[in-house]
Amino acid sequence: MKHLSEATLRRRLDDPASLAAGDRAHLRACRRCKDLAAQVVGDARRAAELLEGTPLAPVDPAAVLKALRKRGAVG
Amino acid sequence: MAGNFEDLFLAEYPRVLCIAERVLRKRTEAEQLAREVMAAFGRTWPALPDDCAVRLHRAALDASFDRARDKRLEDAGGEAGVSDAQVTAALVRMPRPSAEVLVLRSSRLTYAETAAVLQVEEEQIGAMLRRAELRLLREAAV
Repeated sequence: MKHLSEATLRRRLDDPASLAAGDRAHLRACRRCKDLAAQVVGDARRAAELLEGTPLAPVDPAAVLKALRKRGAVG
Repeated sequence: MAGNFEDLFLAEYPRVLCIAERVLRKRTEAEQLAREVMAAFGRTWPALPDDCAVRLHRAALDASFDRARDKRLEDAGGEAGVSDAQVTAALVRMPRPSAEVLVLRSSRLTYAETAAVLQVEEEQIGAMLRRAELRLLREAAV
């Protein structure tokens, strides 16, 4: 059977249901695809750590809109 | 999603801010930019188009990367926030679609929303993300 692509494995990380039943069975049985999947997961986590850094502080859009309206910046 | 500006603002300001913060790495700068983007969008579109959220996300990306290029020059001789500056610099150096797919997904846009902003098929997003993550790791040398 054809091995899974990196794109398929990357999408699986965000959306496990995107993997077809046949692909899931292949992934369970194939050492090469398991190793690649682990690599994809690790790279995605390291990239997310870089990008996301510290968690975003909460924001109150209603308060921001009110402040902008007070300044006449928006209608 | 056509509607009124207030609804758009309340629904999308957090994500516009997130897009700006992912690129600029500084909350204060990101807030300023996000407010400018929202205000400009309101002036440009007194009647909101059906795809206003897509256009707004695109405007947020463009403004963020434009500002990041200026910020990179300003930071070139600085010493504060080195790791954040490195991430911004890496994003600016990367092919633009790669940097954009990372920023959009890390701003919690869905695959469908991300594809709409980038004007690609949703099925391409997985491959784009994989390439972009590898590129970011190389660019940031981690």
